[in-house]
Amino acid sequence: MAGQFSNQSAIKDLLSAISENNTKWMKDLGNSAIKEAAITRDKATVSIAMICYSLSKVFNKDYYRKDRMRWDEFVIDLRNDLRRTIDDPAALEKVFSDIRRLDESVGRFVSQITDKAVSKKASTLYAYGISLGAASQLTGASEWAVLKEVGQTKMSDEQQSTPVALSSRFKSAQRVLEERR
Amino acid sequence: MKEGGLIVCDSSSIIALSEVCFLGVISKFAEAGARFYIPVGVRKEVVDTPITTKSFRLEAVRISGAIAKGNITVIDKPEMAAQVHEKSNLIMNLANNLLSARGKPIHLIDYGETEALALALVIGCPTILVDEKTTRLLIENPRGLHDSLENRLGVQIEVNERALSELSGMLSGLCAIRSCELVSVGYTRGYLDAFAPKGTVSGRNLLFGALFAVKENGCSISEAEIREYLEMLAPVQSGQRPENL
Repeated sequence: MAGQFSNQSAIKDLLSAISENNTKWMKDLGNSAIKEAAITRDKATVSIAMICYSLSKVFNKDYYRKDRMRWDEFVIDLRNDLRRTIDDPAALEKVFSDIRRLDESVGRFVSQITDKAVSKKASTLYAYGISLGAASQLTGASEWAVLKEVGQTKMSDEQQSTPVALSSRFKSAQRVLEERR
Repeated sequence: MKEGGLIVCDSSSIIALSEVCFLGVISKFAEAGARFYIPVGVRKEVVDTPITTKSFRLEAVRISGAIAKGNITVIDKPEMAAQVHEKSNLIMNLANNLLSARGKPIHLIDYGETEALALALVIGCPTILVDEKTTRLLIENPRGLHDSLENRLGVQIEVNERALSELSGMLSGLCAIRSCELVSVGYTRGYLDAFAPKGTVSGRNLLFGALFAVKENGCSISEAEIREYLEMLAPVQSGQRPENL
């Protein structure tokens, strides 16, 4: 998978996914991007992952399109700014602000979809095996938000690759916490 | 290493405990003689940074209170700082060169996490309280990280055997416990009784609720482990109808 990944091709694919209104494709692109970022630690790739996630949510919710004129403006700006990022990764920030602006005007939640994207992608890195601190540092997420996100997943139920038995861990805790007074 | 009631804490466990209002459990253990230490970097993560945010300010205030009361001690002695810094960088360097993909080392861990490990090694404290699973796997099963990354990323991950042996040698004396262990031992001591007067709630409900709360706030405990704790510490008595947990 990751051998074929490049930021430019991901952006081109994202533009196609937008044309097709294909939110599954957007989501998959975001997943491929974050896998790549786990290896390369490329900030632009992390941003692409978050943008893909945010857009998959935005394009999936009807209420963002209620104000038709506002929505059409958003899609035009988004396409133009995404095209710019192919040659200039710094323009990714402009794409984030396009999404934030739309979310502020029609979104229904206090926290923004882009904030959710940050903690979501940080928690994905954490699920892969990247530490909480490293995942937070790479994505700009708060460790607190990532732990909350992690707590809402089945991550701890899926990954039990430790050789330490629960009873032995409990006994260690009992020993060190033995009452001394 | 010295044996004793010393515990070095990572930010992940302090966060999980404060989110569910269980800092009181730390205070009960501290009153009973345990000492909870954190390095400067952890204080930054659990107090200095969140106190500037809207969402986590109250938790930061609570932790700050626990530090002010002496239930949690920040180790910031300048003579120790250099040693901790040096060891922390060494651990970080080894851990971040442990695994690689496509010839590129994978950055696994950050300074904040290695600082807690380094502090534990420098002060000779064998127990580290850490909910964060990558740090825990580095102590207990670094090859588990290899498997996790390889399976989830779908790429071949190489292990640097020299770094693995050096890191394992360095961390082998450490024992990791999680916030759920603290809560479970606290339950056996009656430290959770403050949440509900005795007899009003069954022990199973209390323990289940407490363990599930820390899980929901990032402690890496599985539901199967929660059930194991229930069977171990609050089993269904004969003739008693088990609650639907």
